[in-house]
Amino acid sequence: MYCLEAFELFHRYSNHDVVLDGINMRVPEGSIYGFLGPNGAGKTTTLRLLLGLLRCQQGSISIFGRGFERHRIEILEHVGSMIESPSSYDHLDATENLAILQRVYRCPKQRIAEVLAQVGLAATQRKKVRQFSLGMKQRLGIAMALLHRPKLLILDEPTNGLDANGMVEIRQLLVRLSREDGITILLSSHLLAEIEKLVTHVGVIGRGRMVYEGTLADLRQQQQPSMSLSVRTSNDRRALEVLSGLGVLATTVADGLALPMMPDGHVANLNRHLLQAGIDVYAIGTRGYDLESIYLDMVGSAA
Amino acid sequence: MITFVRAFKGEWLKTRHSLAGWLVLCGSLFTPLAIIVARLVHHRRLEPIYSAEDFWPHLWQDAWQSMAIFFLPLFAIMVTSLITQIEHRNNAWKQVHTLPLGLGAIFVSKLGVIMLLIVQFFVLFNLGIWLSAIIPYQLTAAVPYPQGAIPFGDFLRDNARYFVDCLPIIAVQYLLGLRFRNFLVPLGVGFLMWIGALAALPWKFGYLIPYTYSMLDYLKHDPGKAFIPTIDTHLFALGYAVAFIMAAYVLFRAMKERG
Repeated sequence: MYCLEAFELFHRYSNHDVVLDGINMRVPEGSIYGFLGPNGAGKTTTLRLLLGLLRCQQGSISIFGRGFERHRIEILEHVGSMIESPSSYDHLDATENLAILQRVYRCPKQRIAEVLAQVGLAATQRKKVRQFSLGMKQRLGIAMALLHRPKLLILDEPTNGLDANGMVEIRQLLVRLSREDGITILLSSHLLAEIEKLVTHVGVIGRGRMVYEGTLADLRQQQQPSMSLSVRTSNDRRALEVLSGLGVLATTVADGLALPMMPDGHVANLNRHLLQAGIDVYAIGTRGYDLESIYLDMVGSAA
Repeated sequence: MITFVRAFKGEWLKTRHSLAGWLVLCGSLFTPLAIIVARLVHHRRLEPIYSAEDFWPHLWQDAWQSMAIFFLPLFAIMVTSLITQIEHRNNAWKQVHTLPLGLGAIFVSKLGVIMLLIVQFFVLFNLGIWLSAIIPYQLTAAVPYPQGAIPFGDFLRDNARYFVDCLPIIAVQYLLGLRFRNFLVPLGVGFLMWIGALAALPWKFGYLIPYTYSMLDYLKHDPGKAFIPTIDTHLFALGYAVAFIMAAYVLFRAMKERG
């Protein structure tokens, strides 16, 4: 069962630049879905379309099994969001900012104190938002998104501006919300490492196209065949000749040599031959195993 | 209707700690305060004024002079720009548009807040006029209590007329305020239109400028300073207000990017 489904989203800005080119997205219910992509790939545009902040030019969006265009208000009753920078009123304090939403959503007043405590802003009291740091504003934005206990939370780069502790706290909060309250969370980031430990599913966007969508485990599995060995030596040109003599197909890459994967015994033998040829071996490792390089390969190939 | 009430409550809360309250207070009480000060300074001349039968209509007329020409149009320009700027300045339109509210409710609730501020302005101004009569009487021994009954009916009718007169200004400023992120645009256009309206008062087609109506309404008692048309300018004011509010709503709905 999917909480959010988007089909063939296409978007072109007025300068005719195509920003999204046939985006399909399926966010399973109860998942934490990481929407990854480099800056300018189309993440925010996609999220803005999903929330109705941009007019849908082509394609369709369905949230909670209902078409967004026709059921916008009913859907938004159960969606919390924070897109780009937080939207809070600088001349009001945190409680007053939340009180605006509390009146609109008609949720109990005590929720204000609850969400402020959840995001670590309980002690701000009468401090105006204009006096908040970027991190505090970010926390307030998350509190505003959580106030009405949404079923779906859409957060655009939610840890922007947070210090290391703040990032960990927000990640823990999101995991808790997902596990304990069953909230589906869709969050975007341009850094895989930032959300790797948090998400259950990922969607990778590059140049307006979805290049991967699935679970993290599937992503690792899918990329295993494309892994290779990485060798760094004191003389890569000479090493290439030695390897060629051994029948190993090696290529020169930016940071050394890339070789096909092989059993451990073969690696040891190859190392021995290089040493015997008077070539110092600085490092032997695997390429493409860590998620970051998989991700970089994906968005790189989309470019 | 319930959605509108929810939206309105939220919108009203946004005016807290903003300049709106100060604008209402200063704009509405400036003239009454000036009258009080002037009367206290010239307290020796007050006895015949307070004894006159037409004391209240005379005071009313005096108080509305600066209000109709300056304060009311300028207040309408500034307060409308201020309310629409709250979202632009805080980058909060995207927050507003992701609330479970229809576009109509968002549009009308914001306009409702502006209207309520205008009503507050009128109420405080009326109270200020009353105080400008009572305070000199209380503080000056030789001054009698104002003669004649307060003509409430006439005052209410005048209030209603001036309220209608400022509606086109609110409508034009609301359209501009929603449309332009840069606050200089609605404020600049507003001030230019106001200056243009002042300059156009002697012109026979001056009434076609939607910022002239409160001025013309006041100056009909002093026709030498303006060309007073024979047609009912209130109908023009209402027509302009409806047209510009509808245009503002159409443009608001048609926005491709919301926040």
